[in-house]
Amino acid sequence: MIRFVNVSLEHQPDRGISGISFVVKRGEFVLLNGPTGAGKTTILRTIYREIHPDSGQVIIDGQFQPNCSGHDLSLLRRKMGIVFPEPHLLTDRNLFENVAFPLRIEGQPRRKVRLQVNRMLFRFGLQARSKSFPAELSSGEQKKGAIARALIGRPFILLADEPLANIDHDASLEILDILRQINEEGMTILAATHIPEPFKGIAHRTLHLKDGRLSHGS
Amino acid sequence: MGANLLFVVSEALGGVKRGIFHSFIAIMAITLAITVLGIFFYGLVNLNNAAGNILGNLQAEAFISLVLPDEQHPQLQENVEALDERLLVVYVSRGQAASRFADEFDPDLFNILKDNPLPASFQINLPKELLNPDSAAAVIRKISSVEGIDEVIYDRDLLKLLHSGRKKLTGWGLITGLIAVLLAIGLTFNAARIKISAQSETVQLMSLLGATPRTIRAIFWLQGGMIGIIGGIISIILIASITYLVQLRLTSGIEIVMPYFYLPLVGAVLLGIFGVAIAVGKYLEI
Repeated sequence: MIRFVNVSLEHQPDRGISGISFVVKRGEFVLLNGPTGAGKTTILRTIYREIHPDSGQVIIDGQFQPNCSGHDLSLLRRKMGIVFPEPHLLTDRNLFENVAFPLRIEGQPRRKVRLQVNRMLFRFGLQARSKSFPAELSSGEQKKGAIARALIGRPFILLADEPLANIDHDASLEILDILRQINEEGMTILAATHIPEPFKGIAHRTLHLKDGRLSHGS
Repeated sequence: MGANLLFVVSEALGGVKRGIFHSFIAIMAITLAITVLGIFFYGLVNLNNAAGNILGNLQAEAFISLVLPDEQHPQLQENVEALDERLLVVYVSRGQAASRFADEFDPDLFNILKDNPLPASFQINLPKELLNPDSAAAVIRKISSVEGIDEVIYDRDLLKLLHSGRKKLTGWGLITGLIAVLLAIGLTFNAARIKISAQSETVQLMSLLGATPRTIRAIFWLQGGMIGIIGGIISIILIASITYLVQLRLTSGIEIVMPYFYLPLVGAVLLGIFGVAIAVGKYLEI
């Protein structure tokens, strides 16, 4: 599903990844683990093409598209669910509108959007908060909202960058449960974290990164 | 694009409402520029109309030689008309001339003189194309050279004055208009730049969630168009109000017209889209 072949890139002086090779298979839950600056986010950003490798190949869903841009890039991103370290919910819209955003971008009919978003909010236990704005939500609710937004377009992979960052213990447990559930339903997950312990028993594999290189696991 | 047209429209509308301060600045910039431009344009149109009316009444008068028998006057008229088919030539006989003179000045004059000293003449209306000093002078020279015509008179000074006034007015109108347009583009561009910067988070998120660059650009262009529509409507109201007030103050009976009243709206929309398009091209990073 996702294959990195000897990928290197330096997006800032002394910051980047070097000679990274790994494979994430369909239905897997793979953890990218390492300290801050190890290159976890760089790998995720490379997958959703916010940055481009200096060398090597990134093969996504069987396709190697080094020059993917514009319309094609947009279509590729629609197939991925992205969760950022910060929830990045739009502050001027309520939770419903935030979760509905990807579907509206796709131009889905209003009725379908309402149905799918309500279903998703119900699943995440957020239906009562649908009219709330991000500032009125707890950090755990914001994170769940961000994951709901990432999943609403039925992506083939969930790329989660620090999904448990800045949330309390109870919210972490809820999110871990959600991640476990959706992975059991067949969703491929690649999550980056600097604290791997909570994912024990949920993630299938862990790729350890240090200074932009894979230290073990592939 | 067709599928997410609703998204583009609702995001553009939302963008105008959300960044209300920046939208307000852009709307005011467009309103100011279009109003100034509109006042100059309509001022120019009305002054041109007034000048045109005066020029339309400007006639040349060609006096027929007193020695030319009356029977040859129709032939002479044909000769004058043959000089330029656009000339409108009206024959005024000696009798008609005397009668007009008597009406306008002294009815008893001819009783005293016992004779009519006035020559027959042709009143010649010059076509619009010839209502400039050079063309008029050329055609007048031609008429003067026709055998049987003694003298041709016309108000050369008035023609010169109106012609140079019109040219100056058009020149100043164009310069002022250009400055107003550039100012408006600059202000709209800056307002759009600030708007793009204020919406950068939304734009980045849209891009990462799969909005195509074309969709994102279209949202901003449409915002420019919407801002233009609002600015254009306000401009039309302002220009119409000013026109009404000026009309109230005019005592001469001249009617001030506002032809193509929708032009300010069209101009404002184009200005809005153009200003935003430049800012989008320069500052929108997708």
